[in-house]
Amino acid sequence: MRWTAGLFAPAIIAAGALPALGQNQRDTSLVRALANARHELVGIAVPPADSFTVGDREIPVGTTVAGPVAIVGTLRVAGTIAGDAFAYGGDIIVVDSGHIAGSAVSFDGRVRVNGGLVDGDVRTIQGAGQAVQLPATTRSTGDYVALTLGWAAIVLIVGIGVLVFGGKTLDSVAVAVDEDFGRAFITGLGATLAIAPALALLVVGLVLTLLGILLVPFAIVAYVLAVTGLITLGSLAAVRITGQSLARKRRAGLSERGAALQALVVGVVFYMGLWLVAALLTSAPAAATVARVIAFAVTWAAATVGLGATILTRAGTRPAHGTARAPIVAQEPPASPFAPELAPPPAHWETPTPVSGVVAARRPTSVKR
Amino acid sequence: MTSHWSIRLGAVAALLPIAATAQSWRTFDVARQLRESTTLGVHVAFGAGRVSVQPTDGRNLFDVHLRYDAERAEPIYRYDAGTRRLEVGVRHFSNVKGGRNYKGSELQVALARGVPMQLELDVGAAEGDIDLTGLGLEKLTIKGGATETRVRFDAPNPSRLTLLRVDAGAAKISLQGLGHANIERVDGNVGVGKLELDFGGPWRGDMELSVTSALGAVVLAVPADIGIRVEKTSFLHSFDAPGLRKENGYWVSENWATAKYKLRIRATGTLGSLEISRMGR
Repeated sequence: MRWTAGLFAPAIIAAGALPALGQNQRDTSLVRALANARHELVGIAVPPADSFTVGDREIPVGTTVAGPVAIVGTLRVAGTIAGDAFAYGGDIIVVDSGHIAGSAVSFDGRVRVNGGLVDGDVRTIQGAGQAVQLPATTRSTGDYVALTLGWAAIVLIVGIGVLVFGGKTLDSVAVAVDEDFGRAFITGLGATLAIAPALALLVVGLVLTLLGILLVPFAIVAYVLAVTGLITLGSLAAVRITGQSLARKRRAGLSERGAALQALVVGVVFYMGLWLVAALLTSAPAAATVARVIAFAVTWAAATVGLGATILTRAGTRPAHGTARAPIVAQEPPASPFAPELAPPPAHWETPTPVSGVVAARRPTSVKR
Repeated sequence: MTSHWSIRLGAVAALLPIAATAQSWRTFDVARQLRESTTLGVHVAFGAGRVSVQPTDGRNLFDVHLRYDAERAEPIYRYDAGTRRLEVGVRHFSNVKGGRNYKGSELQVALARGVPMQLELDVGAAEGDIDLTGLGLEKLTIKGGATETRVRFDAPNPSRLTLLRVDAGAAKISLQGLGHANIERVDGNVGVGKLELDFGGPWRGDMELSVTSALGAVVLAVPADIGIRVEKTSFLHSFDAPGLRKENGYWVSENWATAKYKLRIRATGTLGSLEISRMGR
């Protein structure tokens, strides 16, 4: 007998706890519904969840009760409620003789006005008791890391494209970044400040010509594309030079193009690495802000120098003033086959043809006998 | 062990799209009983989904049904009994992950006939089906963003509609039966969209129409018994109006001098087009 009682004890305890559990769940969903439905309840003073009485209720004919009346269940109104009426999980039924002097609000039920009067609003809210996953308004660390890696991939792809299809242009701009840093930075700064006024001037100029008005949309698009192209080219050159200086050791056997690619990759890793550090620090907002400011400053400086270098080299088509396009290296003469004392003195200059000219050779002609 | 892991991985992968597109649909119904019939101001702002407006002969001044995704939007409802102004719609969150899937989002507004009304509809990129048959409209503003909105009047407006303002933006807005609407003046503005105005129905007075189109198209259908006069200020603007002739700087219809009711059109445009066709011929 005792063992039987022991066996059923948990079940008996559980059965006793069930109503309390149901009450808790209902309270939780009521609280949640009231919180979630704040926009639907604008303009109405809603009583707190613990003031909702449990069970159906009727306001009999000829009686007047002060509002608000708030219940969990169905409310039948045949008399008068001097205020608002609320029902959670049930209906509000206003019969012919019924009168609600405020608003009637039902959560997950209906308000049925069968001839009665409701002075305020008749509102029905369905689904407010469900848990709502609030929209993510801030990005997480993972989001920022993904964003940074995505940008790194884009920069790398664009950089490789420029290396392949415009390697020489990139070389020219990179040389200007390397050898004329100060002037490139000042030029870039000036260009940045002039971008918007120049566009305004362009548009005004076209508008003044009247016929040019038609070209305004195309000119704006072309201008934006051109500026974006210049900034991209300059930034890639700056990235490449940075990578070149960081990876001083050139791997043996690397071709010129291989070395350029290595420098580009190292540069991208450096700049995007700064942003990656900032992304990884997202959970520490102060540190993340400092890291972002540093990353922004460094990136901005590189882009500005790059833009300046692009302008100085006319988009890489000519060397910047004061910079040599390619260093001229004096070639050593080939080893002489003669003994040193018999060897002719090294020539300091050579021309492909002697200055005195070349004697024309006589064409062989047939001799008549 | 490996197979267990692959099963779990597969299950997680299968659940991911469901989690990414999680939605919490909620409905909100609100109505107010009709007690007095002074002018009601109504502003409907619904940016995405489906919106419909219709007349009602019931006991209510208005009846609103709203269905929205609580994870992507929040409802707007305000009614000021003092000023008799109703604002209804939804406000979409701009920074929600998982795309902008507004399919299933809807707003239905029923408005009482016989109540003078000033109605503003801002339908943004929502698809609109607006039936204003028999509503007592005094002012009407329709703003479209990027989709298609149809507006119709199938029965006479008991009030004089002093101003109908339509801003089509990049949307296609079509208004049918404007003859029923008892309009005094129409202001139309088209960006790159299309505005179709059908002036069918019984006219009760003259009408002024001012249309501006940048790159969009304006198409007018006017009953044959209505006199038309067009004042055109345009640059590279296409104008197609068979049956109209130039007279004293205006384009006029044959019956301009004799018609009982007249439509005066002022058209301004840059690269758009204006097309006028006649109905009932």
